[in-house]
Amino acid sequence: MAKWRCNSCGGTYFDVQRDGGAYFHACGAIPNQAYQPNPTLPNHDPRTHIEVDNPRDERPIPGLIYLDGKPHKQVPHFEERGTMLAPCDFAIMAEGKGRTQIE
Amino acid sequence: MATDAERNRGLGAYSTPGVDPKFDPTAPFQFAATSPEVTFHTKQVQPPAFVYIGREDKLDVGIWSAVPNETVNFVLRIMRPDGVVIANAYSFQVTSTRTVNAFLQELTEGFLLSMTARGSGTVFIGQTFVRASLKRGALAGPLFTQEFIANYLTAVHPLMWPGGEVLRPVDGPGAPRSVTGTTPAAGAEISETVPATVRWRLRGFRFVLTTAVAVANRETAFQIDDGANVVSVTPSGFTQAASLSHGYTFGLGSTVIQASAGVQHIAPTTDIILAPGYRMRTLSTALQAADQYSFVQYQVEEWNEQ
Repeated sequence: MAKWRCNSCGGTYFDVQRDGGAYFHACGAIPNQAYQPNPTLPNHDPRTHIEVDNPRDERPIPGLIYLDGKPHKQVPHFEERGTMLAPCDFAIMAEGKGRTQIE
Repeated sequence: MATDAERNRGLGAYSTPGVDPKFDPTAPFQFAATSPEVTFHTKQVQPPAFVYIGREDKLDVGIWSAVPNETVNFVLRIMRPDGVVIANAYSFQVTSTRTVNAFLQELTEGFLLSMTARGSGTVFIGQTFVRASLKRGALAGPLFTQEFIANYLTAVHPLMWPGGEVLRPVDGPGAPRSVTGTTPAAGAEISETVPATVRWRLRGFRFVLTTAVAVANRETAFQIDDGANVVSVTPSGFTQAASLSHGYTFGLGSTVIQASAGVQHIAPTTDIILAPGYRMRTLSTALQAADQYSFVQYQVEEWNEQ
């Protein structure tokens, strides 16, 4: 049960929960320091919150199926109608700036 | 005193020699009760099952589990073509949690009489969903010919065919789950995203806000969006000044309570089913750069969404 710091947003989290389940971190929004609600000003920026730069999203890509312990994805069958399972590398939605283990 | 006619009723000690017929112990027993109306074949009986496993048929098993390294044990009773009934046992171990783990198992030819599936480490209903069907061809091929079981199981409550239920993963109660969320960096909001393969129903969400020395009146709200559009915003209704540490709870069915000591605030949250990609976030007013959210903990009811 390791503790990590996200290099994109600075949030810290455990990758495994107390019940043994996996936890998938995804960067959240941060307050917009350049927030300026006055539309008459040249630096007008109505956004109260903005997304982090290059956010990290550790959720697995949709459609993964594990066959014999190896990740696969359903792809169109190359000869017949329907789909087939093709091996693929395990991937998350977005790597972002990575993460650093702190415990 | 008994007459000769009374003494001569039946056989035995009171029978009169030369009058009553002699007792014959070899005579066949004559059953005098009523015979049953229905009779049964005991030879050349047809198999009591309608599923025949051919040589090209295989058992297709899909397991989605939130329990790490969960093993699901199957036992199949099959009547071979020679009439012998055998029990085959198979074990399938989950490699990756909250993802479909697929298995294709060769089977013995014959009539399938029964099937059971039991978990090894699953405690709560809703943690492990198992689907088993008869298939012809490759694992990803479309030739499903018979669905046997599709339901959640535990180590104590197995699934069975025939007689079991075929359900969707989102039917029935979900599994309770307590999640420790990400502690955001100073000055950042809390943000929790629903994973891709689950459906959540939020029961309660709690966190602590520790404000820095910078003077400002912060106000916290709890927001739920679908990844792009906001669907619910619940303000706490409380303003937190500088240099304080207050706990906030947004609970299903709660009413607004502001503790007189100012350390715990409770507000209701909306009863929303959270699909994959939905987000639960804080929405703060006047949040300062050194303010810190921490101790993010929430309880959800979880279902498999695949």
